[in-house]
Amino acid sequence: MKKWIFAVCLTALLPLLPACQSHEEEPTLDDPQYLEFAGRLTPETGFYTKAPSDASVEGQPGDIISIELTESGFYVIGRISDLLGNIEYKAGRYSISDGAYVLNGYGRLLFDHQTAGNIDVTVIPNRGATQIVRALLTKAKDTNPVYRTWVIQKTRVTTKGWTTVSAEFEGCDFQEIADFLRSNSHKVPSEVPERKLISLSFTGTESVILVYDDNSADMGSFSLSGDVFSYFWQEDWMKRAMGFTFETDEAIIEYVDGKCVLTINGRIRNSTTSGSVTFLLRPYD
Amino acid sequence: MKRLTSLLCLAVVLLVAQPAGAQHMSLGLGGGTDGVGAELGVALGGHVHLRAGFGMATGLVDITLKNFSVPEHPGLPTGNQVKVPLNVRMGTRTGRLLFNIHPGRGSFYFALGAYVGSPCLFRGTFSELPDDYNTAGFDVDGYLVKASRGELEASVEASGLGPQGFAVKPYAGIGFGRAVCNRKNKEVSFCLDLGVQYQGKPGLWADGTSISGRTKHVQLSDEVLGEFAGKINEYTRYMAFWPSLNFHVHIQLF
Repeated sequence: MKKWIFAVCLTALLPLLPACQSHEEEPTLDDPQYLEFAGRLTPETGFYTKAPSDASVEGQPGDIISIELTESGFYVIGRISDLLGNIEYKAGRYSISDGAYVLNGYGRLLFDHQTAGNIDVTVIPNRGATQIVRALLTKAKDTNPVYRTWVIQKTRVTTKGWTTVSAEFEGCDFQEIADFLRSNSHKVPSEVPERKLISLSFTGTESVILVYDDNSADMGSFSLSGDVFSYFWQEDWMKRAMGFTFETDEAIIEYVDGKCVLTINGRIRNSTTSGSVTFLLRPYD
Repeated sequence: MKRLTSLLCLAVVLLVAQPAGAQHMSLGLGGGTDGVGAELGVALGGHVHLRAGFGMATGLVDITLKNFSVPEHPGLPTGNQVKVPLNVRMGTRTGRLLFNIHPGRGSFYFALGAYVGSPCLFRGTFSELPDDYNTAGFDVDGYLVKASRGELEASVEASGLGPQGFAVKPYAGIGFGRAVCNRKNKEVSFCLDLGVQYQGKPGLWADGTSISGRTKHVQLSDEVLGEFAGKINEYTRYMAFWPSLNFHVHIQLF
């Protein structure tokens, strides 16, 4: 009888053993609000037709070289800013009204958004005359949960120097991060702009858009292979935008608790500092 | 709580599963390097006594070192140093299962067994840390260990032969006394134990937070600690074998 009681007691103890940690299922993200309306317009007639990340463009200052319409309702207009062909990007919100794209702060665009290829676009700017321009409409080739706008919630910076130290910041304030790195004896370029990175957008046309707190934006291109995110952006604008750039051109993407974690490992160009930068990204919509 | 429940169950097992020959049981109360605690003793024949109990030292020792030096910036150990308070408290909470083996009819015995339970030995809390410590710390596999409002808590832990988070520490020692009286009409006895637990080299542990907000108890390995590791290893390398000295008074239950 005692043996039976002993066995029952032992059985009762089993639940106290640590349970194996179960793998949580990845949460599914809702489609972004403007998924079907997203795409990139590249004006053809009288404007330049090269990729937006290529700064060596032909055209006149003020010419629009691209209009990126993201899946989450942001637009980014790229214009030639000077005679050297540098490009300036401006970001804003767009909405759809009576079949027209309403670009806050710019005007309205009318075009058939369903077919990729060369199309006519009616441009009705807030200031200036209406015109019809020929443009190439590029649409997403496939779908991916990363194709949307992501708000930067946190930035974690890990540096390797005397010792490996990680620091976590709310949002992404370049000055705050640079001050921390300097106080911990890391070489940081002296001219770090006083601006904050607000959001990152990855579009189905494989553009990555960085939007800052002054509504300015920068744009590069990317490709995805599994969870490896390969990006390209002009080093000159990256230095201007952030004060520094990385030698690596790859990042890792993973999804945790309905958010996106993007990690760039590498060395800061022209610096002895190596480490990683990790962004916690919350879906904008 | 789960561990306390398991120890209570163990006590129940001991009560209900005692061998048919074990007609006597005692309740022991006492203290020592294990902290204060209680145990049950059962005689398994004339030469062997089985003891199962629990000891807790949490909160018994509380020392504050007022001028502990830390770097002003966590990423620069060789830079300016600032003095901050470090509060150290004992943190052991372990159960034990020991066999007292009396070689003769006297009170001397050899003790063999194991300590199980929390791997925590000490808890330390730094306070009044410089602002940089609220931002920066150690990254352990994506979990950031850093201060909050100037306070950073860490613990010295050793699991012995047990898995991570649950200590199993073999024990061997000698003792004097009897856990269970072998004389009629004697209702009180005592056990004085002197021995050593094997717990392996202790490590430094703390709570880390992932960038998405998940928390995990993580070990600050030498690789993670970098320049800080040498200072800590100076002390922990001598702690693989942990001495124990305890005294219990036993009251016969039946």
